[in-house]
Amino acid sequence: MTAEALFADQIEATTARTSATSPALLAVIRAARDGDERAFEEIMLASERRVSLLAWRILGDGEEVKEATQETFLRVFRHLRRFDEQLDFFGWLFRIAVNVCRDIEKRRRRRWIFAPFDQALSIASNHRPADDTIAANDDAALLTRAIDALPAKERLAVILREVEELSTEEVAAILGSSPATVRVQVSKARAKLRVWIEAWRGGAR
Amino acid sequence: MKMNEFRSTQPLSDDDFAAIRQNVMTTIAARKSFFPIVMRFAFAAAVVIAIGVAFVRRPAAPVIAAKPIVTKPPIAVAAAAPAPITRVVAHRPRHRRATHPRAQYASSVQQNIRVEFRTSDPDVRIIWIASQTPSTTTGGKS
Repeated sequence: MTAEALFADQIEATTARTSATSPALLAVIRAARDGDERAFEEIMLASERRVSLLAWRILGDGEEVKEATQETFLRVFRHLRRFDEQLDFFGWLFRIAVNVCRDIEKRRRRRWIFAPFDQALSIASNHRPADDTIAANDDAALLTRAIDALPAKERLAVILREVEELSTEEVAAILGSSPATVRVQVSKARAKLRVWIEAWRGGAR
Repeated sequence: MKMNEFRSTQPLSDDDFAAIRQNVMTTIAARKSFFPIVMRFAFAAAVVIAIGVAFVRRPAAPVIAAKPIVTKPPIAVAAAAPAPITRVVAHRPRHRRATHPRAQYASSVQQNIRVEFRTSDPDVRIIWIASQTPSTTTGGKS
């Protein structure tokens, strides 16, 4: 089975709201766990685009996305034996990817704090989205700017719940918090986004 | 406005993905080849330590010589030898009482001397009590 077929199979399983991993993907995971490098490459092929897109949504910087994707798969390989087959593989994978992105964000903040002023400006502007240059009344640019302005926890919750369209329980499992907390964070984030986008639209007119 | 429009375009190209996969697989292969080497070294070190422990002779424990038991000879008591004077006790009043000045003067003039001799026989003691009187009387009314 090709990586695309594995991916499609898993998408069907996810949309059907089955929390378990699809049997085909599970077989590949077992093979990779037993040391089959080809099987691990199949897993990477099946999931790398989703991982990189998630990292892109969280980090917003191309180089950091490459780093995050690579580090995510290295961690997956290291901890593959700990994966519980009863759980959804992509949920587990996303959890690792989110943790890697958090680590990269922390490092970026530290670098920003301790860097000289000129470099700090370039670091701060690097992770701004490229589409900020689009006209302010462009919906996508407004949305990007508004989501980037959210506090870290609310931003992650809204990206996973609203953008990646995961269930509240899945988001809670990925972020290591309760579903109620996720609901509150998403609700607050929505309210803020609505206010900001309205304000920016009003200001642009 | 759809939320899933947020950064919906894939940032990496196929070449980027291929490079990432290659890096990951290289790192995994390096780690796989590194661990057997470490394990071999660890095994060799364990064998060397085991041989060292088994074959290196321990220094002989020092023999502690038993101390000779020395018995003291019984104390011989000289039969007829005169016992030396061991103690001279002079009786003095333990508590000084407030005395009359005249009595105080008299006591300073008259002092008893008690000399006790002990012999080898514990039942026999020689006690000599002498009253010492000054040869010249310095006291008195002037």
